[in-house]
Amino acid sequence: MKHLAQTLTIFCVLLLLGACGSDENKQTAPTDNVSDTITIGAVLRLSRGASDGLPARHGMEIAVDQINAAGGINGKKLNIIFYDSKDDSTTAVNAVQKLISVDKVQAIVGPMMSGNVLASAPLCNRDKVVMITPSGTSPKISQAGPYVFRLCTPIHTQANALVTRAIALTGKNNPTAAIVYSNDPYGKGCKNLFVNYLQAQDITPAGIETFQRGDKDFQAQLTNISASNPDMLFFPGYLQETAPLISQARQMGLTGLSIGVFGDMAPQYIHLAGTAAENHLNASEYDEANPAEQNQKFVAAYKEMLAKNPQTSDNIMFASLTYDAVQLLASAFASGAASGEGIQSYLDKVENFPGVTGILNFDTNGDVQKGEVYLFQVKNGAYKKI
Amino acid sequence: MLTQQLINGLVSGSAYALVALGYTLIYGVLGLINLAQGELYMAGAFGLWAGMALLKLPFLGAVLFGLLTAGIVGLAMERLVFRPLQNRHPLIPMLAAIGLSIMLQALALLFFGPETKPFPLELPPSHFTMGSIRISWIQILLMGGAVIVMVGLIWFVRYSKNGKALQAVAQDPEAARVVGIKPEFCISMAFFASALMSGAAGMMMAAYYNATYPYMGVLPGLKGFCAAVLGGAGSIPGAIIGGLLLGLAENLGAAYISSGFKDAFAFGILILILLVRPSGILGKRT
Repeated sequence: MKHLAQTLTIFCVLLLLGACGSDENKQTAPTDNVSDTITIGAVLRLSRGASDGLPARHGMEIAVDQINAAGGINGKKLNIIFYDSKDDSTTAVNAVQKLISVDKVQAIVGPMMSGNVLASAPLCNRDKVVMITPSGTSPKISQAGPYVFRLCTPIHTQANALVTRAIALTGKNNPTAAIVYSNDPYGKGCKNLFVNYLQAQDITPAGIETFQRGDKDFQAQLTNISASNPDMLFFPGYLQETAPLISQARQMGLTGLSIGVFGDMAPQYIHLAGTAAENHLNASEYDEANPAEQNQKFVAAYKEMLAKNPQTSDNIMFASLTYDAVQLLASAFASGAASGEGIQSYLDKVENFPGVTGILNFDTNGDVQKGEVYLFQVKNGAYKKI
Repeated sequence: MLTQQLINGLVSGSAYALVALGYTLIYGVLGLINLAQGELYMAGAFGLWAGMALLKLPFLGAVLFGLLTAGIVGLAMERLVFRPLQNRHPLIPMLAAIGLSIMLQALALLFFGPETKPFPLELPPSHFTMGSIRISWIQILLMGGAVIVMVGLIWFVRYSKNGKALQAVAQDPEAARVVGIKPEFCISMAFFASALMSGAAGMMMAAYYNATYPYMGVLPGLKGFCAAVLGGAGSIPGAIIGGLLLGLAENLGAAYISSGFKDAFAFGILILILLVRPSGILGKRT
């Protein structure tokens, strides 16, 4: 009996220790809020979804390093506090709450996923703190309030552009289409948009199939759509599944143009799918090959960062978006904006801001406008802007 | 369309059959359910990948290397974990197997990272057409490979001297020892053969699905277990039939009912079998 009590006590102590350990998820030491620094908060995917989140974090760090090396903003150093969103709305809201009320940050970059953005938006609007999401694509974010801005194209604009371009690329008057989608909110949302925009062009998909995250065997689904060998294959999902999916489709003799979404927009996709990825059509927010001097400097800094951090995945698009978010905020601070209202009205009015992701403006909903949706196709084993 | 789906089912079914054979061999000899069988499948696939991508072996050399990797992991399992636990309560080796499976996944994660690796050899898409049926060469190769491995195993168990010794140990280890058979050696051999089966399945599916990753063995391991139970635990023909049936049911379910619930069909069948005929299709009623 005594033994049991002892064991239980030790167990409880261990549990408590564990709980304390995991509670401290702050990634950077907090700054003493002295007036010679400006602090930005960031809520990124640093554990779950880190293959997107770590590049985003490094994008922000590259921007901060460049700004501070050039003497800071009006003599003040820029500083970032990072929190992990854990892909969970509650965690994201808590992080935003803490950034606003405890860390008293000037503005927030993130969260990266639409659900987390929508959940945190009311807090930012209430406390008048600007939040810039680098990658939340949900159409609902447009209506999320005056303090919410986003740097990527909403998903429906992307889907429409993809459908239009795909039809043009097939070169046929009445091409056939099939959709195999990932059975999660993102894949399903994309599937519905593709169906809508296809129907707007009088095309009804010949087959719509689904798969679960983690699946690697798509033979049954592909066989179902293979009879008609459709001209367009829409595969919305994440590359862990869509890369084997496209190679199995090619093995099966499907020759149609393949079309993907954000989830495939990484060199890893081409690495996994090999020649099967050739001609894969996709939308992105950033063109690495953009010759502008600012962009070349950013690409070089990113490459250097990759060499130093081998665990970070090569996903420069997310880094470019958060890099621009920091640059936008820095220029707001430089213009003298010190309060949430000041930053908000600066972003509202900003005109033709030269970012690495393009020439940026915001519409009245806080959605970025850069003139076009960037479409990419895989040519000779690399994504090329078309 | 139906024939096409049947072929898909037979291909994935032959992989399940190989894993099920791995379970059955060990269950037949030791009465142990080695739940780490899926990790031998993963070890085979990673062995092949490492052989080609890291050691730059030619394809056949890499296949042998993959088989050897799986075999060595299987032998090590037996020697380091199951032999010391041999005379314990039967639950203990089973729990140890679950622990082993988690540990091997973690090791693979540590050595190879979480990212999926493509199959090191890019296979050209080519087909063999017969009337309305189209079979890709890779499907023919995989099924052919599976048949060769199965025939080899049956020959080994039924007709080779070592296989007969294995059967003797399965029937009565003490009596086998009396006639000069070393049960320890036979048990090691069973583990090695069972690792080869699962490793071969892992390599085949890594090529077929073009994906090698640390958790790849989890589902095939469970499905191989379902197939072994379905066919009748301990029966070699039962494991083959069980695996093929499972593959067929899963693919037809996905093709004609709902493609999102593929895995649900496999485990639904397991529950049904356990309710209706717990001893399996070819299992002896006890």
